[in-house]
Amino acid sequence: MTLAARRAVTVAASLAAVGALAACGTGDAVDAVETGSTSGSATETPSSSDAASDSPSESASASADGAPGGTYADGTYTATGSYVSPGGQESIEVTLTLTSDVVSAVEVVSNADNPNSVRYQGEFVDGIADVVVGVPLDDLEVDKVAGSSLTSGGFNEAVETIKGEAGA
Amino acid sequence: MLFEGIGTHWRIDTPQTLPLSVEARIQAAVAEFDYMWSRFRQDSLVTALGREGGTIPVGHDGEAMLRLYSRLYAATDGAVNPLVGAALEHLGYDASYRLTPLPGAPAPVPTWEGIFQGTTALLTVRRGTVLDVGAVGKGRLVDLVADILVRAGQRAFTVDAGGDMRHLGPGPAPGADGDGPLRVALEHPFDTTRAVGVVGLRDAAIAASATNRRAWAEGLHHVIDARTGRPVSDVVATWAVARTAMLADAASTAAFFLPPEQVLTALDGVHAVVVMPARGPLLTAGLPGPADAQESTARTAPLAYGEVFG
Repeated sequence: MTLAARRAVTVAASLAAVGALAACGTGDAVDAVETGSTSGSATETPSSSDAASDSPSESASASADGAPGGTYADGTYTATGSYVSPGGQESIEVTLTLTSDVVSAVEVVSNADNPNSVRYQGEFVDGIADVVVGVPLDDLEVDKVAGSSLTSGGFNEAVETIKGEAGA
Repeated sequence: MLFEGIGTHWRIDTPQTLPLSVEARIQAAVAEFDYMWSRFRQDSLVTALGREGGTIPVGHDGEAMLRLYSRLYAATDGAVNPLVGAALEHLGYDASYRLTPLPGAPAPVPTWEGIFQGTTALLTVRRGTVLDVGAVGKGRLVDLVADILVRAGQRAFTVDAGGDMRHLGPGPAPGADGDGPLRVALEHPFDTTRAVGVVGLRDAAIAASATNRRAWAEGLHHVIDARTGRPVSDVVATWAVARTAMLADAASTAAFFLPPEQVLTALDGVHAVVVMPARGPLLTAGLPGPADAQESTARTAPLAYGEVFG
């Protein structure tokens, strides 16, 4: 894979990673729309998500103008990631500017109004390249999973009741 | 063996089905522990102590847990404190699952300094003091269950209490082929279909803690800094591997307040710590890489290997 194409995959992987990162619940579709041409200084978005490269193609194919694995047309690409959190539908919007297959600008806007989502999205917006993405469990062979204890008994029901009362 | 206990799902894996007598002993131990220590029962010792105050003998388990709390209290400068129960209740995490905070700030968490003399196994507290042993309690109960299995002659098992687990035996999952350790994925707290790392566990325990599992409102969750009475905000999840489940539990709590290396030096018997901060890459201490595991005599190393992704 050429360096340019690899950067394009990294860019697209960032989009997919944003979709995954922003999801406290399940991740959802990412739509990318080209909105025009700009130019800027050449800076690259660092990505911690080489492990997420299994799913960049869905967003890449929506925005790429060239052959698969080839170059991307210069321009501004906006992707909206939507996901379902316990508080409802939330979205986060990422705008990338590509110049000669290099990301020259990144802008992230959080569209959340659910307090929990605002908190986590805010952290992603500030440090988008700075979050752990991890690896799909399906890609690993493990015997057990160690996660913080899922609650049983009345806790979950109580949370739902509170949310209902709060009209969240 | 699958069952519900102390508010979570338990799973015990053994090569053969356990005899009913062993299952009964396990159920009895879990029920008795809950009866003593649960903040969420009207009839528990902890609830009675909070309501009336006074002096109680804490028993063998209580002594072990409260001595460990004293070490945690000292190591974290008071951030971890078993008297934090009233602050949790003020924030909403009370026996009725009110889940709405009371107005105003909670009363300061009483000091733990000098409250418990480990040599007498007696605890004296004033009325209104609510004991919460959540930082080490589940681990202690996992160890108790493991002890029952060992006394019953079981030589290979995995006791899993909602993601905190203890392993014993020559191989991975009991009955499986091969000599490798139990491979345990570190579950991503925000996406249960992903893992942020894998550790190989043999004759050791792992505990996991995250701020988003018992959370009920913006910024309100169950990991409290006793110095402020507020939930922590700069660490999202922790994992710890240790000789016993109680130590792993304690270390995973301490890791919200101390750098990973400091957790290892503060508590004897902790093999490794992994921390996921609110922002930034994972922090680790004590993880031997997968390559190291190939070379070491795997049978002697409690933590066979570990790797993290990002």
